[in-house]
Amino acid sequence: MAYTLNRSAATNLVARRVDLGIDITLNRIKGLAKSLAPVRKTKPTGGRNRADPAEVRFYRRTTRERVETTQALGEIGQQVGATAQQTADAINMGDTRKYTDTRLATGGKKGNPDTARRARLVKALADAGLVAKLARRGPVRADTKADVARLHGVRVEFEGNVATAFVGGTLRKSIRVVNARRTGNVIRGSVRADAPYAKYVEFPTHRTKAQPFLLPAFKAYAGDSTKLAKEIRRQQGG
Amino acid sequence: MTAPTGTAPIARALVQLLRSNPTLKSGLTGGIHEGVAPLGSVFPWLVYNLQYGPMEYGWGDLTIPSGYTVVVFGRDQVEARNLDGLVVETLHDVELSVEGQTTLFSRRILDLSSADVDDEGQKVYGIGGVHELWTSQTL
Repeated sequence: MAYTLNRSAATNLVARRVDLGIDITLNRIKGLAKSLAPVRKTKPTGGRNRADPAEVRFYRRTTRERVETTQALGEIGQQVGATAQQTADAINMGDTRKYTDTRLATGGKKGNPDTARRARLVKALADAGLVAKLARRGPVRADTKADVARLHGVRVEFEGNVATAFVGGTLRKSIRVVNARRTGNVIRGSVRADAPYAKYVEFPTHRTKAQPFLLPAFKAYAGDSTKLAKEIRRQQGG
Repeated sequence: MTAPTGTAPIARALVQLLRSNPTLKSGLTGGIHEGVAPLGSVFPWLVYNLQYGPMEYGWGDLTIPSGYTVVVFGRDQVEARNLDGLVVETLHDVELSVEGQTTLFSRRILDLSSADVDDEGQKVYGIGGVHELWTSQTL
């Protein structure tokens, strides 16, 4: 999506000034739109989140350890009909602490097959001595966690004990200026947001609230183009 | 010197005006909501949202050229379009009674249309647009 500025340039004497003025305005709009565009951030509470401390701990192992553990996880998973990923998720999501009750192996009160699989998996991990091994792992320093998360494309900021992972930035990066181009006596330049979902951020959808960033930026500097037009008219003796 | 009242009274006046149209009010089964409709709302519903509200100060007065996105979401495209027509009829070129401010103009400046699929796999149509409301306040 894009918003376009059109200005009539009647004489060549002021044309260059108009080009420059439009470029400055467009860059101002771009700057403001970038600062207004939301960045997706999340609190790393779930194991599926890349910046989750448990998962970071998982990545923190040495390569040899990781290979050995991955093989072991795959073998244990096979015993209870789970994939290596499901086994890793069981560790990362804290299942080893939650599904310790042996009665859950039949799926709990509701007979949930997912609960049964998780509980069987945890029991298999405990039998292999892996739960104890994981529990012995010492805490990792906060800055190390942030470093590891950064390697996976996630910025983590710590404020006290609360970590916030910034997993976005695509929308901001996609905002750009299409340089002013002259066609006859019309100069046209645009500020674009190329992210395919930009429209759904700028305007509301049936399930999400609008987080406008492009139109407010355009409106904030709309006065600049009016001033520019007035100045051109004055220079032309109008 | 009076303090600027901002966009809050404008939003109030906008909703008041939308609710004053009995056909529109009865047609919007799911109600009128700011930003997003709560889970479980019944289609069709209307969502309004402040899109922009820059404040332009002059000598002794303040002008707010604010833009509000007003979108009707419904299962039926024709129904949503008809309700949007009623929204335009209600808001376009009318004087809003904004507390402490004078309405300079109210116009639909941009049309919006979208089609989406909800969690149940059924289509949802969003028809609406951006209404620009210019109000002025003496400071």
